[in-house]
Amino acid sequence: MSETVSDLLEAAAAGDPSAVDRLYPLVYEDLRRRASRQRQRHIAGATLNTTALVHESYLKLAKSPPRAKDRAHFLAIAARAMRQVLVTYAERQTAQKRGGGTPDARLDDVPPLAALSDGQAEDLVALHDALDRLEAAVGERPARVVECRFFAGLSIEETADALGVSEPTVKRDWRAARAWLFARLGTDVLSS
Amino acid sequence: MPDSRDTTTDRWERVSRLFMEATALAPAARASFLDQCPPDLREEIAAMLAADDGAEDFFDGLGSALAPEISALASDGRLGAWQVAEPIGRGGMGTVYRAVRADGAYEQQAALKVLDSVRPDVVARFERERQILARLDHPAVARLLDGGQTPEGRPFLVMELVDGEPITDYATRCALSVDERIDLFVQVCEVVQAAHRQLVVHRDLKPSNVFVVETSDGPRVKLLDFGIARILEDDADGLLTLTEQRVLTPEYAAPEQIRGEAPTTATDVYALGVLLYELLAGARPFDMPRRLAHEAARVILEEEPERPSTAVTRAGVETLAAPRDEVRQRLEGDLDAVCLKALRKEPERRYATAEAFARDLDRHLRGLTVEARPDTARYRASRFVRRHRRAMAGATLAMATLLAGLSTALWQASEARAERDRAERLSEYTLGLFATQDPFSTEALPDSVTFAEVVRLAAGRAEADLSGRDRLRVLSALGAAVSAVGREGSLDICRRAHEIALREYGAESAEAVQTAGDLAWIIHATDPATSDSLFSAALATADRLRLGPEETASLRSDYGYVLNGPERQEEAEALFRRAIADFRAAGPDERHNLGTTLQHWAVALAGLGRHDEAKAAADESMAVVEEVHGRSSAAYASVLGNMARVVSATGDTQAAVRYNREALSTLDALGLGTGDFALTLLNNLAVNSDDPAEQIQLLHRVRVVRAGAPSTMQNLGVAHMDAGSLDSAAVWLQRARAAYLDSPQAETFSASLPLVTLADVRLRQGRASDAERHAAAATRALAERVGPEHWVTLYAGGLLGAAEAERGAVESGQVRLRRAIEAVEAQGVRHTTKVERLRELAEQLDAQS
Repeated sequence: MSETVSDLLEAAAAGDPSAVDRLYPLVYEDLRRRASRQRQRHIAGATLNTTALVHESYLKLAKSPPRAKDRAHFLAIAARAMRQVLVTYAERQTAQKRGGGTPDARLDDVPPLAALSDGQAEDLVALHDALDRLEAAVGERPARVVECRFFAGLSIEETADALGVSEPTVKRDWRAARAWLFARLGTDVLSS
Repeated sequence: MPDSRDTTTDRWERVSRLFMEATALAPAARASFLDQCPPDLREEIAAMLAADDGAEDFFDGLGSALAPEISALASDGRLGAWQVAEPIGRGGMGTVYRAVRADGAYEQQAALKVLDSVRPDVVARFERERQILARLDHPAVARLLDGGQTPEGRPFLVMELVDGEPITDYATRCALSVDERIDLFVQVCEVVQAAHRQLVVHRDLKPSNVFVVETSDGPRVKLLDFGIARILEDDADGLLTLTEQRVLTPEYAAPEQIRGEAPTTATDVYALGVLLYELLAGARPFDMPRRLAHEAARVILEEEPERPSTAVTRAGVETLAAPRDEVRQRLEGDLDAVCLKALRKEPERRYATAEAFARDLDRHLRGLTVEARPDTARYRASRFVRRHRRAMAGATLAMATLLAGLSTALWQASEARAERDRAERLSEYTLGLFATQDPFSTEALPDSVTFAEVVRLAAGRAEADLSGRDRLRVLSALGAAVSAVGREGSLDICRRAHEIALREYGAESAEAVQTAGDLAWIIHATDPATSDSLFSAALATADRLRLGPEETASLRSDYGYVLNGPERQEEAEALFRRAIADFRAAGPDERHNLGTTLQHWAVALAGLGRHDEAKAAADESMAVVEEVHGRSSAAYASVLGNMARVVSATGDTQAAVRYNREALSTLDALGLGTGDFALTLLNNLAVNSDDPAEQIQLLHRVRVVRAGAPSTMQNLGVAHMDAGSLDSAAVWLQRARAAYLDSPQAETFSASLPLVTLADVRLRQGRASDAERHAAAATRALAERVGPEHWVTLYAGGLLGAAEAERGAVESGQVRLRRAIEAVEAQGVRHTTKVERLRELAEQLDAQS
């Protein structure tokens, strides 16, 4: 019998550190499933804060309202899963453009991110790589901050909660990491 | 490894802190700051600083592009009660998805349109619009099922899912013949006409909104997005939306839409014309692929479309009903004329209604000559425009009054938002009535057409087009509009509206009450008896029906105004009091009515001798009117004029003169110094003047315009008497008396006034028996009309006593005179000049005896 999100949240609350890690694939699967069901359900143009959506979505997933601390963890996990799903799609989009094959057979039924231009999809993949480099170069925390802020649309306060650090630290990491990443994205991005 | 990790983490702490410190500095100071940074960090920090601005833009840009994806992934695909499935179309306003009921309430597929806009006013407007569109329950109109807001604030609309295809695609796919195309198009006209009868204008008719569904009864049309364009319109910034629309579907936009005018039924007729053109010719009237917006606008406003029979050369052959030459021959003549008539630049030269459009096509199919093709169309059109240019301009000007009246009438009827919206819609419809006066119509306008006549014709149209309450409302509004420019015509319309109300809703209905009130108001000056019985019956009915204040407050206020003379001042006062309480309770929307009613209440209170209350009411009305209309307004002049009446009743004639003068100069500044209202003010000013010569001069100014007005002659009589020219006074008073008897006011308090004054004149002339005769007649009539205790009755009685005594019955005459003096004095200070006159007479008698 497979574990449910609720089971894992309870286990995490009971002090099982591995439960949090085991949540990740579940969340990822869930996102991917939704994405394929909703083919192209995008709305073009500028959008507002999506935090509420992320909250709502994962609270639903958990069935019972998790405690504040669990929810914070959960948001961080959601942010990482979101990054993974989006980047996978963006890779697929750029691969299609180059006429290459599909990198992930499971994504056959998933259309490209129609809201993104091809240039933006490339930027997203480049950002993803740069984020890995940032993590390798300076440690995990700034990369997690970028995930929460950028891929899950969390506020400074929510990011601080999710990662268990202070708000000034989140502010500093966010701005400095952004500059670090952009400096390394280099001429590819600037010319696009 | 732990060491290395600590080092990298530590390095990031140092780099990020120094970086943050540097960003806080002015750019010029950063170079020296970098010089002081540790050399191993310097290059990295410099690179980050250089990237800082670009980074923000980059993350913002990519982030907002990603946000919809994030929403979509996180939101589970549900919007309200709807599970959103795949997209089925993309239009100018947003994306359309297939959706199903997600709450399992019932099995229903729908088209869900998510709008690009995030304006909250759109959502609010949608809510109002939905109530109106809900009434548009027509089998050939795709229903609006639901609507709301996505979590990120975009409005969405849920509409009946129509399993069909655009009419042009259908015609092409099925290779329909010209006749079959016309048959389908006539169906479209019928649906549009049905909607117009419900006062809904589509505003965005085009093939993608006109679907054909195959049914067992053959192809049926189904119209999408009825009235949706209206939801998306930005009232505050209509031009912006218009520009967007222009860019999106210029081919179907009517010239008036390009000009930013409110769309009317005639706008839909234009779009129908484009649709028919495209169905028949396989091309649109104007060939404008990718033309610039301003160029497209110029084409629509200025260029004449080529004939459909010529445009077939531009058509893709597969879109045509038959080989090109065959189609061209078929279109030449009638069908060319029909299409071009619908596409006229001037709304009034198009078909007056969608129905008329369909009728002409029907005539064509039956081989009859079409309306659209009179032999000298151009000549007749130019003649019409020439003949009616002035009238139409007048109509446009008067339209402001009309629409104001219409909105006001409906706002008074209810403060509900939906009602206001309805008022707007009715205004639009009414505008349409004027815009579509058809030059080729059989009911051709006479050469000397006046605004009143245009309104009458419009009323005829409204009566034929509309039904139920809408018909009554438009008729009432039109009646009110004519009454603003003259009572003629308005009476007919109001009478007609009342008849319809009685027939369709019965005497015991809110509609009958409302229309009776309108009618009673119109006739109150000419037929006071009928007006009175209409008003009192309407109020009695309103009470039996327990109608709310929104339906009765104005009725009471109007009735009070009509009754507001000495005869029935107490009733008037009670009516005003009640109306005022209702207007107060109704809040800000009724402030203008509150201001008006308060001033008349003040006059009524003054008439009843309740001077303090009168002054307080007048003060409040002044404040309210100033707040609502400002000081430079006719309404403020009116409140000044009534203030003058109030203070005049307390005997403060100097203040009355001041208020009257201010009122007159307010009107002068507005260019209304010679109007009817100004004349009333001049008259009142004269009455309050203590200089008889000035009185006479002012009153003659009034008389130049109000030649036969009995009140002017009465006042001239008084002025001449005060000036000592007794013969002239007698002449004016006799004329006044005759004029009163010849007017609807024959049986009123006022009609006795010339007799009272004449009695005084005769006393002064030493003609005691004439004086006694007039005074006796006046006293009898006044006692009957305003009661024996009214000060004018008492005054007339005093004059009667003086006349008796002069004639010889000294003792009884003196008793009567003294009693009158005591009784008038007991009522307060307000009639000092009259009391003085009676005392003077008493002193003269004492001296004689």
